[in-house]
Amino acid sequence: MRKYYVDGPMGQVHIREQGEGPALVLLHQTAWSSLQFKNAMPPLAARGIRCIAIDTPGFGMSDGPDTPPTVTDYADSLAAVIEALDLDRPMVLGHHTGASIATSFAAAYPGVVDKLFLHGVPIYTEEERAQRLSKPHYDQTPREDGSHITDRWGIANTVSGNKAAPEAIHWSLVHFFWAGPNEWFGHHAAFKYDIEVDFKALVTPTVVISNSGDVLHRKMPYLQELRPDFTYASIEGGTFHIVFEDAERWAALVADHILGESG
Amino acid sequence: MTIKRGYADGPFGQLHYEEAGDGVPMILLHQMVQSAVQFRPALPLLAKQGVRAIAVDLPGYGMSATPDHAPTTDEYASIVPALLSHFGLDKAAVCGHHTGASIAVAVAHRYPDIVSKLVIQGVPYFSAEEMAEHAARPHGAEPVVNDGSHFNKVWDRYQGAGKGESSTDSIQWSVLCYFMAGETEWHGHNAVFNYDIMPAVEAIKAPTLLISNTGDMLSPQDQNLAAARPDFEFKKIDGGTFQYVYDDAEAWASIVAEYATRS
Repeated sequence: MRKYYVDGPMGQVHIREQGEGPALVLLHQTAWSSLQFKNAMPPLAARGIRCIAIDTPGFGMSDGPDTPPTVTDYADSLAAVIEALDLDRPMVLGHHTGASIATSFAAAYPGVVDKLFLHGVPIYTEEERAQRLSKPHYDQTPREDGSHITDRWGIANTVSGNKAAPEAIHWSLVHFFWAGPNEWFGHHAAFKYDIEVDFKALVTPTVVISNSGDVLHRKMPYLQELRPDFTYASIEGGTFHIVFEDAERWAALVADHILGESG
Repeated sequence: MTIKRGYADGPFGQLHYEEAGDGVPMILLHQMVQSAVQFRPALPLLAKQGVRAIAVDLPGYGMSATPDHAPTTDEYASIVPALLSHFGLDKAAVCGHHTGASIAVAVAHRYPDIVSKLVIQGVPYFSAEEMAEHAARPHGAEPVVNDGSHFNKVWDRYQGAGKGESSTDSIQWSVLCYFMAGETEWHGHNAVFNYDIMPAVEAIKAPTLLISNTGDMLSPQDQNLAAARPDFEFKKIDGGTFQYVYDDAEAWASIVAEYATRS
């Protein structure tokens, strides 16, 4: 595993890389960082895939903007990274907010992406998006007794249906507070973004992944209706931390699709 | 002045650093269990006052690679010549706080030719007997538990260490850095308490500034050190906690920059 920075339009972008072979760019969900793929990168690398996991601007060790960016802004940052690394037609994989960025990028830069992987596509109705955007942001202000962290633990656990492993909740919290007061930028961008337009227009071969324990799993039939020509793959169970918690199983599915051994 | 981050290769794998300024070079070594984040408020202030400030994450902390064994203080010290060669520098001032001060002492002891000046604060200047007592105490990282209360435990520990007088911001970063370090968070303290610091201090040849703040738990050790080396410049500050470097960055940076740039 090698870590490094490249310069992007929003400042320094932090990257974790492992493996040799066809390049697979990995985009994490909010509020994580490339560390979300820490457990998945070794098995992917062992299958001959070059994993390039990127800290989205404002998360992990990447610089962030001062004002809320759009998904298009994140996609432009990704374009700068791919150019700086001189990647020739990489595959791009995004999970949740990362899937939004991947979709926007593939749509805005057709021909650049060899293959697209979208896991947990945040495709919401206009009402769902408006409702989510109207919610107040979590107040991160540190309290003397540290209860701002444990209160958040409760929320994170509830959101996962009390099913996520403590280790996954733990790391999601470390990332949440590490990102700081602008942590909400990630979800704000994702819920402002009308992914349906870009999703319908994609010209890139796409694999849509979902796991039945993920809140976004219910959107699978709708996605299939929009793009019956895409490949769809489901994993039984798991939470929205599946990439971290069940990395072996997840990486095997992704590698099978990349190497054409998906059955 | 903006902070730039990067990686250098070191004896334990990749070393992550944060850097600002282009004046007199200075390597900054953090306390346990933190990272270069400890110096974030101070870096631009040092830079403005003529210092090229390079704060490094010690091996196993922040974003730096984790060693495969618990390093000795002398082994930690060996990262400094590696850093200087990365930056193409022959010499630099070395500044360390708490565990970082122990390591800075070891750098000045083992590599006298590369240290232009030494700045140490809150030095674990213990006798061999006191060291053995500390080293015998049980150690180990706080494990992740189901209800997230491990965050509270570490939060309370740090709040207590500053008698509730540290800023909540500094406590927050300490807690996050603690969990970033993970299972090997005890490595740094282990090195400190197994280090024979007294003869090393005796051997120091570099011009040295010893800073001490009375609210720091290591203030008595600083006093003993000042008595042992009356030739060191001694700067005593009233109050503050072990988070002085972060909480009073402005005052701290002025003292350090004045000493570093003095001809």
